[in-house]
Amino acid sequence: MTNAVIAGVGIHPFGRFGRGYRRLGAVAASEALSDAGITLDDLDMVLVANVGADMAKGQNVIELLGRPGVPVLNVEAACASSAGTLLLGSQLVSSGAMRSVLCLGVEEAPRGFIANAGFEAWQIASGLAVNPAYFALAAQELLCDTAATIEDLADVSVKNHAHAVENPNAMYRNACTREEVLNSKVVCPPLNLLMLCAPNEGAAAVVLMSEDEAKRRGVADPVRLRAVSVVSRSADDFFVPAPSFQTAARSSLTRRAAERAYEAAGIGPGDLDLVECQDTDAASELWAYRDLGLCEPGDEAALLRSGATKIGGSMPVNVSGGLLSKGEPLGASGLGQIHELVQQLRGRSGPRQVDDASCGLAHVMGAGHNASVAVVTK
Amino acid sequence: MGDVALSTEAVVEGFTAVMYPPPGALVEAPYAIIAAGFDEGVTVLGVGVGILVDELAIGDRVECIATMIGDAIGFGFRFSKEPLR
Repeated sequence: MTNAVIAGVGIHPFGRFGRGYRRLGAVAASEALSDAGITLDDLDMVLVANVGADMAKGQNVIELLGRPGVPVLNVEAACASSAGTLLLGSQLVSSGAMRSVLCLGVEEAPRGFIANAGFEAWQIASGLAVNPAYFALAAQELLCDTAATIEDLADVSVKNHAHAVENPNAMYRNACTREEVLNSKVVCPPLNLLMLCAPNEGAAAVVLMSEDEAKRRGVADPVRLRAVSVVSRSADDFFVPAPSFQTAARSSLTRRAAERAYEAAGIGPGDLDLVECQDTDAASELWAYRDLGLCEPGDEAALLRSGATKIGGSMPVNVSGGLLSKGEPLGASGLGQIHELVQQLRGRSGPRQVDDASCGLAHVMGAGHNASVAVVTK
Repeated sequence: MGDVALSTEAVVEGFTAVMYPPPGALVEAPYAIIAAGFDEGVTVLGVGVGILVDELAIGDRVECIATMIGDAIGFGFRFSKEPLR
């Protein structure tokens, strides 16, 4: 449990801009500061989530806004980098060690294959350095072990793309049909192009304060960051790029992260009004239904088919459009989810508004190395 | 923690195909990536050797063999000489 409050949020749309990560990050950071009603000099620390850029990347972004002199530290945990900044930032403000912390996620991912996923030379030479292949194996397992069909995978993409039509910050804003998804180019079967997210560019930021500091400053519309859990993998978890894994039933990093977050926040899945989860590929969203406790194992497809996870349903998932529509700027992704949840809880989501949203969950999975679940409430 | 010698035969637990090899790959596409389960309780990922991905089914028996990858010796999986189908 933290007593951290999200005092402000900012975002740079996700897409392809070719302007360099510094400018994307500066846009999101300055919007968050302004939303929180503070300036750069009011911060006690800056934590920057990024995977691929050069050293001192955080400094390079912040320098476009000023030179606050406080620590500017970079945090990397693959796709869970953002969560790392939230974990550290929330503990710092909750403990009273710091009053205001900026958590910024920014990425300018190259097109195509994610080259620095940690493949060893022999894996690369052998042809094993194909990120989508690892997700394809997990997708095949889902199709074999549950009632999920390839049409269900397509329908996850259809749902999320439909949600993104009204999200100005998403890269892909066109709806698509099941047929279009099924007919899109095969990448690694059973996954087609439209069932996989594309790494891209973007930034998102939040300002964290302790509850007392937010009150002292008279922050308008704060949202509580009730819990953030980050767990790293154990011997029996699958990850990218695992050369091997235990044959017997594997544990779930996401489930462990979710259990800890629910316990710390004092809630259960039934208390959630909306979820932003890691849909790196369509199957990952269905796995998340189970691992986040939204349904029993085996009922993932049934939950999707019921329409419950569409906007307007009883458990909307990825109303932002998810990674499938937004794309994935790795370091920024998780903070982008928080931006969505915060705007929803503030009632500022316009056509994407989930009615009476007061409790949201954000889930990221960093290539199987770290998983994180965060709970935000009004 | 010590070394365990794995048997050479394994069961296909999962597979996919790669159409476009990534930079640095020394194998020609298309090829299969196979998750092969050994009796010792570990599943190993490897590339299919002489396997058309359309021929694969979960439950097939494969054997692990040494294979040339560029100038180096690597490993891959090919169908067992006596497949149980």
